[in-house]
Amino acid sequence: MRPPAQAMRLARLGAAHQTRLSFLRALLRQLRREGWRFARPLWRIDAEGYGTAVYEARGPQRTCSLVCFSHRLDPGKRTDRVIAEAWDATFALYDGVPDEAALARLAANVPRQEAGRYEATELVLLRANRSVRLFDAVVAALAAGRQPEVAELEAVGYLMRTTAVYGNGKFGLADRDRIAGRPEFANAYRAELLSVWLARSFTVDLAEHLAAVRDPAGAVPLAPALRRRLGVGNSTGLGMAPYLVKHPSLLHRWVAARETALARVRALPRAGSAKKDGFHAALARARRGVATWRTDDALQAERIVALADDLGRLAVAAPALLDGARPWDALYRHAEATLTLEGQEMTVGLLIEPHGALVDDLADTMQADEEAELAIDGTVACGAFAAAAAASHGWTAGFDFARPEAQARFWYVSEEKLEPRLGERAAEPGAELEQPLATARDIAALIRALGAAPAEEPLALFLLRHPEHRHAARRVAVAQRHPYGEIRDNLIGAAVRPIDLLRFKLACFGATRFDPRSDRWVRIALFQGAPFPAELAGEADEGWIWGPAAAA
Amino acid sequence: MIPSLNEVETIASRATRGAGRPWGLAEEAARAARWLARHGLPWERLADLLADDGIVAPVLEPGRLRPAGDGRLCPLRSGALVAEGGTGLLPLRLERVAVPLLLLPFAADLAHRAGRRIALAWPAAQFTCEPGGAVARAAGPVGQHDGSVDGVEIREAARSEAVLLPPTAPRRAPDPAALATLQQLARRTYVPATERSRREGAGAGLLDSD
Repeated sequence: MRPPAQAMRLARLGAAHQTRLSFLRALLRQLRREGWRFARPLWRIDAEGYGTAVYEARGPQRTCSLVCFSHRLDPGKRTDRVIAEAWDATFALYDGVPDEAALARLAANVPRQEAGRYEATELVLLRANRSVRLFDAVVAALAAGRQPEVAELEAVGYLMRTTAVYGNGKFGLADRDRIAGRPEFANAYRAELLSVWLARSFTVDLAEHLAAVRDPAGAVPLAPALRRRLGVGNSTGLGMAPYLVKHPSLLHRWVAARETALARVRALPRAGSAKKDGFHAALARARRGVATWRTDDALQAERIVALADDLGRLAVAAPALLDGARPWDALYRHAEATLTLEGQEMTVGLLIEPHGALVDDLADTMQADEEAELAIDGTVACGAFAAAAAASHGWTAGFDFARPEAQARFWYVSEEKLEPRLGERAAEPGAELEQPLATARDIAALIRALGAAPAEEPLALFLLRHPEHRHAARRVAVAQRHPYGEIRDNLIGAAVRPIDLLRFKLACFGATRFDPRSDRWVRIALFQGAPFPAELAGEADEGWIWGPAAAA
Repeated sequence: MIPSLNEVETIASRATRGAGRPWGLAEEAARAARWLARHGLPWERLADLLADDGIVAPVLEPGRLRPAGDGRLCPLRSGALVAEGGTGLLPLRLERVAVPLLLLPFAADLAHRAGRRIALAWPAAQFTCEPGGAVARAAGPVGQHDGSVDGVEIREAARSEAVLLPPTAPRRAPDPAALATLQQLARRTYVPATERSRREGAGAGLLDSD
């Protein structure tokens, strides 16, 4: 397995791509395997496109419902920021089938999002805004009896994008405890991603509805092949960034699952023709997908150009490598030696892709009982704990925190809607309230303090005297059993790119089309190319996520 | 307001930090508060602890944990010692502990880690924590709050006849005054917005024309 010193560098995390272990892929596999059925029992949308709709997902044991509200929104108020107060559409995933009383309660709260209150019957809360560019163009085309241009669809990739998706007890929603024992929701982010997938159907239905209102006789529905090209966009800012730091046992599980899958595939002695074909098919689709990956961000655009070049060279080198012994290992080593980080990380996904039978079980290992895993064993001696810290966190000694660049930034929570933000320590107020994301600095300080403690003193007594080192000690304790749980970089340094944190988590979700808007804001698509609910049962091939199939 | 467990954790963590405690103790407060909330116990008594000006450093002596000089022990710091220090520290008598109810989650944690039954008692209350996670209460209405208690005993225990706490209680509304105190303390951890922080601090534009 690739060691943490390699896998946990922030730049590599920031070059991550989806793999078959990504959450939305595992979700769709599960829904398909279990034969889930889908319906739209309520469509109360008026001629202007405003109102209420309900989408049902019926599993073998339970049903849940996405309740959707569509609103009139003043274009001047349309913003992706957490501090927004109005949206084009708001949604809640309801545990069961909502009656009129529940719908009324949701109608009074869901449109207010964070300002509403929710109950344990609501699992997920989310909202979305229209793509101004694409939504009206699609409605106009369909109303005129024609299909929108593929290039137009590809340029944006979605009709609406979500700007926040909440779960786990926020604002009174159900705590994770309520659903953690259910097979469909036991694993990471399943409920949230199910909500987004159902919302995708709503975005298309809404556009078709408005087209039909405009021209009842002449309007046409969106052609299935074109409809597949639409995912749900997502706009992510810093709100997501602290998560990876605050949940080290989860981060470890996510990385370990991928690294384990990679190691299993690399260990295979030979490659059969079916697996080779699967790899080449995914690579071909990936090359087409990369060719349609658009961004205005100069740095990412360069990376995409280099990635396209990487994949071209990979396609040339792969046949000979795959014919030999330990073919997948040879292919990986070749990528590591010759490709950019983006190329290497995409290669990881491509290598794993044809080996579902070998690795898909790992998708069920990506959840953690965090309460159990965050314990500090205070009976170990300080000397032994210091040695453990040196092994897991010796890399923190490589930063000179006396230099201003090493502490140039600070993470904090703003009074405004409690939005996480990143400030400049020297230029802005609030550093005394900084969040505990200065992991390298604080663990380096702990290691120094341990060096001054009696070697035989139990850690519990050291911590009794030094509560200021407790949070760093917990990180070190957790790291002993979770080697992939710590990002090995200085998160408060001048050079930190928060987008690398966002990108990694979004890749774990199964996002594609990373489109940075700054070093701390990124747009993505979820489910672009994916089957719609009625198509799910008939489609086993997961290649849709890599890119378009060969042009017709 | 009836908070979810996640909200209990968040309020407890931020309030503890807002009261000036280090983040590591804020994390302990969050987990302890969540545990109490899950068992239907008044976690919001954390507010009494955070409002207590007389909390002082702990001093450990054989069989005894006492405050240094006048003042009271912090149940979070003391509790962490109990949970992490192993059964070798027991039996342990804690003198002049503020809000001793906050010790209970830590006693339960020790029982689980050590695989032993642990008793936590003070004159008004007795609890027994089973290694499998169940917690039993004999004596003492827990609804009223014990502000500070002298002579909390933690020891390994024999079986006791007692009433089991529900492992998962329904959500309840906390005492509004205590909740308000905690929310006020939590607000101290938020940095007031400035025009610059609003523009540059978070990513995403203020206006969206995509």
